[in-house]
Amino acid sequence: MKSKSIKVDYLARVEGEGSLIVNIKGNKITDLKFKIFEPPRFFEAFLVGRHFTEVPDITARICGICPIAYQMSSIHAMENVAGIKIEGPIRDLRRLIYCGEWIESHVLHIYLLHAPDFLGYQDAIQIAKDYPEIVKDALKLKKIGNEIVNLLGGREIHPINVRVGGFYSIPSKSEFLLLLERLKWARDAAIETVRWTASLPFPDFNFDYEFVALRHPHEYPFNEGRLVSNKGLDIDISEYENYFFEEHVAHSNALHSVNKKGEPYFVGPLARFNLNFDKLSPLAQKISEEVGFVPPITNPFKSIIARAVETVYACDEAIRIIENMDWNTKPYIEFEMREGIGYGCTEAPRGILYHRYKVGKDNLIQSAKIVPPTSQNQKQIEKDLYEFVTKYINLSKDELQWKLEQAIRNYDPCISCATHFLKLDIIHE
Amino acid sequence: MSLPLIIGIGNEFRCDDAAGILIARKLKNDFQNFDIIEKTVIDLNFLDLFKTSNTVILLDALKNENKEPGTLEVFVFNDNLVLNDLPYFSSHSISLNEILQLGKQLNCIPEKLIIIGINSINFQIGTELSFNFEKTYQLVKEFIKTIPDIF
Repeated sequence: MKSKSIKVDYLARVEGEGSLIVNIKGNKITDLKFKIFEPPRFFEAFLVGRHFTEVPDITARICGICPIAYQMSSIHAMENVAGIKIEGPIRDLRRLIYCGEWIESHVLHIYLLHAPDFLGYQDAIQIAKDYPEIVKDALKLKKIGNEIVNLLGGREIHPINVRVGGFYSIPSKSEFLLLLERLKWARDAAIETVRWTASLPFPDFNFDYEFVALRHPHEYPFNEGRLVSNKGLDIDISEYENYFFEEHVAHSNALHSVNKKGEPYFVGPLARFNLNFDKLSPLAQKISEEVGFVPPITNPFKSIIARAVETVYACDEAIRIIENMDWNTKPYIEFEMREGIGYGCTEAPRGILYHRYKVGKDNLIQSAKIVPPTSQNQKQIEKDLYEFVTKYINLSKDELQWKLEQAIRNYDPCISCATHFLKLDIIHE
Repeated sequence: MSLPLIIGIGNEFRCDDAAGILIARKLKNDFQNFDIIEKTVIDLNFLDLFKTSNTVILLDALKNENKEPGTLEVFVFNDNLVLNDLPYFSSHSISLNEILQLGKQLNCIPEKLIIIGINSINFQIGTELSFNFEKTYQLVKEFIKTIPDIF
């Protein structure tokens, strides 16, 4: 019986720390575990007893890449408790700051984390050696996302200008207008990114996934919408916990999420794209069609193209918002908090981010539940790895290892959020 | 002509990790003719900062249990410096090695780049330093005064 073993101590280019173990005996997988061993971070526990106004800034600390997502999910949940709905310019500015986060997160992942897998490089530093102009443009594009977050959020990492009811302050019109020309350059660069990612080589790997994302009647989703799937799900976000469940598995400090049938599901850019293609801007739709990237896309390796399309959309949407903004607006609305339970679910760069809070009469948090996208994708990642090894079991040891790491990065897992990654062991017995 | 730039890097709540940031803060009083900034993490923005001055000095805690805490390790960036041989500096999200390697490939390294590592041992949560701050501060200050002579 064939016997070989592969061991990689730490997989780079993912956010956080974890490990993967694959045992293969002959042509059979005897064990496969996507392990997250980073210690639990206890955010849900230490939110208890804090004032509701503190939650957006505390939860933003969960992640340095997607703090806006945590702020947005938590403020929408708090506003749900209070029974208020934010409309008009403040709502638009919330979409704008989310555009910034999508741009910076997607571009970081496309060029610096995932592209090396497709091009056969160990990391982006090696790409920079051969193609410095590509990396320079990528960094310039990413920076524009950071600048939006910096301007509207007060700083790039863990912004501090977001509050329940709106923003603490709104920068001047002239500051936003300075971004416009740069955003137009960014949009063009993002279009080229779509063409470039679509030209990458993709393994033949398609499956019948359940894609889950928000869907809004009038727009590509950031902050609002119903939860839908390609398998018929269509629910209000308050029903999330009736349809999705978290289970503890011994090999992971992050909980695994499953649907009602106990099966994995797929969240993130590819799910959003498949379920909301008609809500993309005409330009984002046009460039997708130009490169032949139209739903349904069932190859997870093509998530890199979905990220590029969403970057075009985010630039386009940011330009639209800035050009149409009513600048004579108060930065936040006054409201009375009340006792109750509130739900928030927004589209983080990596997929839906669900929050639920119970607030007491004293305005203090009594309970909190946070389900980040990476923990929702974990079980699906494991399944993809299992299917990939099964299909490509005869690949050489090195090639199989390379593709498995690439397959994990399809999901841009943020293990810091889900509790960090990655040590990889593949053992052929 | 732009002023020389000093970047103090660190986390004030992780004991010795605060060294770079605390020393940079105090240097503002003694070096009026320098731009001095504080950064809590090393990130891709460093590549932009490198473009703002011909001379950049990085101050960061250096995790090194084999040296006396508070003493200095100085590296002058040049073509002979093997970046992979630089010791591990801190726990910031992108390593100094990576940012310097990327900067080198993208031609973003300033004409003069000096890295001052402050030997440190304690990176736990807290605000205590495992060395005499004033003594280390004087070492850094005196070293910076010599910089024009080393290029």
